[in-house]
Amino acid sequence: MKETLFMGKVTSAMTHEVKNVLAIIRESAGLAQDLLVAAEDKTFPNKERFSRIMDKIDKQVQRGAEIVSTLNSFAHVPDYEVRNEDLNSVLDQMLLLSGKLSRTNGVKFLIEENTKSVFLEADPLKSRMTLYRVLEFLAPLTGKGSEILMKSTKSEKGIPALGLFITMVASGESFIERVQSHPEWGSLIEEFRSLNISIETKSELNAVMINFVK
Amino acid sequence: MKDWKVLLVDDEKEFVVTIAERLGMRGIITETVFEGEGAFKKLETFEPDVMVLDLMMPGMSGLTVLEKVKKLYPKIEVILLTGIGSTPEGLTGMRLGAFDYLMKPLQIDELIQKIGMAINKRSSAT
Repeated sequence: MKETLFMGKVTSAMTHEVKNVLAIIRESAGLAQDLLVAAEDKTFPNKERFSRIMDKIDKQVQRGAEIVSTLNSFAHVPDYEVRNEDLNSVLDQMLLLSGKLSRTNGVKFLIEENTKSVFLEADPLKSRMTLYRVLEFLAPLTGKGSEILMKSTKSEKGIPALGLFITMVASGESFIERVQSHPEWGSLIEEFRSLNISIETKSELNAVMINFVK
Repeated sequence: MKDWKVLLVDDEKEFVVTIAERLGMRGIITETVFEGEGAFKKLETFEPDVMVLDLMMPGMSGLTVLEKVKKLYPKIEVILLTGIGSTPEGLTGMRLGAFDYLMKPLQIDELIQKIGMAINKRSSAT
């Protein structure tokens, strides 16, 4: 745990540095825009294009700031050994942090907002690790153009759970069969069992459920 | 915005200087300092309506500067700049008398709006 705390601490400090860099980029681009407006130079041939580029910089700074903020809160996750938190906020955080995984596999990760909070009292790092591991396993299997809809829920026994509902663009065989016959599936089940987490397939829903057993 | 006086306190020089230039272009009188201790030296010759103060600075922290400013110059309104994850510090700052806090990276229009609101509060108090 000391190692993860250290990683978190350093990452958190670095996110502050990156935010300052983003702030300087935004202000410098803003100043360039201000100067252009102040000059009122109608002869500047690429004025509109220049403005569009400045807008693009601003939007990317905003995107970067959101990613860095999420990374910062993620870096603080190991600060808690056990935490009572809403699974909806876990999904929000992990959706942003799994952007690269999503793009690499050409699979869209979506969240179905659950208006009700589903609280889970657990090691917050383990719950995130589990979700990421399952996404990492499922994404290459679903194929490009597919969607994985994530939703916080409760199992029939009232246990906090995450449902990953898969919508595939083209599928000749049953997706769930493909999951179950994959050589890694069995070891994933075992890996999570040691963390008191069960994963199971739901053929009728074309979904994989993560149940956070106490 | 005419005659508004603002002191920017942040150790990120490039950031502060650029913000100062942008505020200056809008007619706001702006001075800059790059560390907490320096703010008090500046206040001997320049009393701003509003101080825009970074929370995370080496040496004297933003919260310490805030406490001291509110004690020595209670009329100066202070807007805090926070990084990420420092929102609790922003709230602590408000309990210590800060007018408000903003997160970096800023939107210049939002900063100007907050400065205006802080000046209105200052004017209505006097």
